[in-house]
Amino acid sequence: MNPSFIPAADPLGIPAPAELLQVLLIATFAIHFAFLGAALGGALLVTLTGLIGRGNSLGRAAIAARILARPLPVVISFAITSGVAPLLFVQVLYGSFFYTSNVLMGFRWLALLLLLLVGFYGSYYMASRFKTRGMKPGQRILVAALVALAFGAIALTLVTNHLLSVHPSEWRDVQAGTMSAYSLPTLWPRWAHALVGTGVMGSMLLAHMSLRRAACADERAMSVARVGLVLAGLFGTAQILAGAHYLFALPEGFRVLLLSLQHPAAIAWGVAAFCAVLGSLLALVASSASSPRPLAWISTVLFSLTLVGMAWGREQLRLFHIESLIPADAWTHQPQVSPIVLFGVSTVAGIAALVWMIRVYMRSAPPAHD
Amino acid sequence: MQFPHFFVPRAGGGLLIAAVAIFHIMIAHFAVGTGLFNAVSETVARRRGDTALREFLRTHTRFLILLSFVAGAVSGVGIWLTTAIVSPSAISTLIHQFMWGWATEWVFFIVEIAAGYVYYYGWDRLDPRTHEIVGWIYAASAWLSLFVINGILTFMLTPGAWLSEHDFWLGFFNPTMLPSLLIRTVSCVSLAAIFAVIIASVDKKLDRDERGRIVRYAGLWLMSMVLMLPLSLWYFVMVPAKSRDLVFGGAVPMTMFFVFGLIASTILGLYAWFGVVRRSHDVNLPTALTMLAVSAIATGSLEFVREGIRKPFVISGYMYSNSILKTDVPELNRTGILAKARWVVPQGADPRTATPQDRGRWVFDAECAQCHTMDGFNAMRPLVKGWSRPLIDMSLSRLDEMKYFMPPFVGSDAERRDLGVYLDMLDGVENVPPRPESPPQKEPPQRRRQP
Ligand code: HEC
Repeated sequence: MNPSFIPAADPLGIPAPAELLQVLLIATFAIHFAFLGAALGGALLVTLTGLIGRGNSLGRAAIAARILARPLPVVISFAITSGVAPLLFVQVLYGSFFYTSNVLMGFRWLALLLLLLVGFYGSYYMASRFKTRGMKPGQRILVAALVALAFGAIALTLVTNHLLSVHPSEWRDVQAGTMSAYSLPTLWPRWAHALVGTGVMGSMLLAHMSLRRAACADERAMSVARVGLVLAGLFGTAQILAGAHYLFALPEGFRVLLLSLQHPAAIAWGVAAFCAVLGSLLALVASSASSPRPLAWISTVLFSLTLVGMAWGREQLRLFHIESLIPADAWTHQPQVSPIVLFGVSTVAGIAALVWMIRVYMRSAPPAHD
Repeated sequence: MQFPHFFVPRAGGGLLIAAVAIFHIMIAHFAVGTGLFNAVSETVARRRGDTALREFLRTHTRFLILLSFVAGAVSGVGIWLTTAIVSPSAISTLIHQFMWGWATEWVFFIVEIAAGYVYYYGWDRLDPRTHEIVGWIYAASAWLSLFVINGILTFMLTPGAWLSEHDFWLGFFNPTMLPSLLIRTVSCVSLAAIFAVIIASVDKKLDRDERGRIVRYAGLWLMSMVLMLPLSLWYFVMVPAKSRDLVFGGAVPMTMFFVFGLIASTILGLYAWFGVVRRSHDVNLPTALTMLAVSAIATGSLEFVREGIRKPFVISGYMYSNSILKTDVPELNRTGILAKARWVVPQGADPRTATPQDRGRWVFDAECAQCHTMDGFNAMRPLVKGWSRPLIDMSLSRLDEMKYFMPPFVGSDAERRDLGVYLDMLDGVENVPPRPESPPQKEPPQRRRQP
């Protein structure tokens, strides 16, 4: 790539050391991905369980679809809200690359808005239909499938944009129309890897929602929770295969870096992969344990660690592609001390408010069952 | 200029942003206003033991969740995406200077959303006192997020002392920050009040007395609209003289929108007393919807003026609307703009060997296309139709004097001549009698560049 096409760094520099921003990017991306994964995986599972259970509304599959459809609007809401933070940090760190690929994607990038609108309103519609059973099962499933499709397309758009941003050598061809962004290397294995991962999160959401209900001696909910755990284990196992597939699609140099476990990010990735295996195993064990709750939680924690480690590996992959191309003065920084303090204070206050609200809500009388 | 340009056929990027922004501002204002309205009203309802009002607030909240949590969140993301794609350098400035502000705003935003859901789903679960506190958390976090965003947005028009010393707080507490914050707060609560009237007029659970009482109560809130007039005058005293001149006579559309926005707001404020509070039983759905329309037009007009008077800058005194930094102009005049705006030159082409016409088109793409389309909104072709070469050349040398809202031409003398050739050719193409499709190299750039 002729580096003169890479936009110059913003003359204002960055308002904190790059390392701090990278940590924040990784952390907030992991949170965002957890919600996005639960939303997309959840919608996929509602479709799946809805299909299986469409003949028998009292069967486990039908109950699972109902349990899972309910919280999806709120989950999606947080998927969107939490996405704003990584969007911020990626712009400040990698603006020259990120904006360029946004522009090159053009209307396909802006199509995110339409997809979000369809997916989000669709999820409210779906939730209310599953709650009141106000539609024929087939129609409900169609709505769920539409929501899943919208979020699957959103994931594809995000993956494509990211890949384009780290492949400046293809920019001019994409601009000229002689190459499609969708033919970028590793796009499809990467998307598949993300997609299977969302299955784990959707299953875990199902398991935890059902466990919460089972706490009030709801036997059917308990058996649905076990289904959720089995699914989490199966998706986790499938993810190990999808991950291996992606690993072998990656550039050789980066694969060696990961597998040699020499770099901190590679170690994080290794630990993450290990946690994924262990988490899947524990989910399967939990599914047949007499009291699945503790193991389910351990498995969830392990999967969360996986997410953080993978997010770290993802940033390292970005650097593998573009580190040498980042404009020299892009990361000169002038820490803004008092605004950082302001952010810190409001974060602490915000977390306190969140914890308090969630506590009073959880402790209040649970809603009547359907 | 550093980035490739995103061509929006016909409309241009500016209109695209305006469409998303006006929509989002209305919804976001409604969300903030409803927070304040509900928190105060729930407290009032509890003190007065007014169960009808409390029950009504629940309906109001359902509306909030469905309308503003979905459409608000999506259009909020929409603003990020459209501005970043249309004007990456400007967004980059805001992000780099105010990253910690945005991050703080994000925290408030998360708390706001969480509080909104707990508030809504907790109506029957939480005890009234706790519920009220959650309502206040929602109100506070929503308003604080407005507080932060308002500081950053007003910075774009009146960066003030920031220009000499790029300091966060100088930029944030800029000259128009406070009047604008108050204007927006008034706009927020009046929107919430209008929606309260709308909902009250369709809510079947209310009897005639209850409806009258709630409409009267909302009317009191709506009266705050009369403050728009003094607050807007205060705001316009604080904007740069050049922008103020635009509003007070320099640009006729600006003046019209401004006057119109103020008159509409004031009438609404007065109507709130005479029509809504005093005659609450006569207020019905059509009246309420008319009020909504008037307020939408008023908000839209004032936002339009606010955006319009910033030209030719996107960040006053710092960055022109076409993303060129003011401090870069002398160098660009020396080296030529095509030396820097690499993306406008198609793959395989070389500015040194290209025809003047092609070079002119690239210069146009680099510094004019952000505001001018070829044949659509603010179109170039009709603007220069019938102009002679000398007239074009003369205009290009004093673009910024010719129209207030245009930046000066930036680039070398040779590039200015090339741009003149190109603009002259546009006119020629137009005037030639009908002929079949023009050959590919003569198609207007916006169509050629569709990705
Ligand atoms: C900040 C946005 C902006 C930029 C950048 C801009 N213009 Fe304009 N221009 C305008 C507006 C707004 C008008 C007024 C249109 C009208 O009167 O209908 C205008 C009017 C014009 C006119 C007609 C003037 C007249 O007297 O009728 C010409 C010629 C013109 N622009 C050329 C250019 C050229 C060439 C460039 C690039 C070097 C350019 N403009 C860049 C906003 C811009």
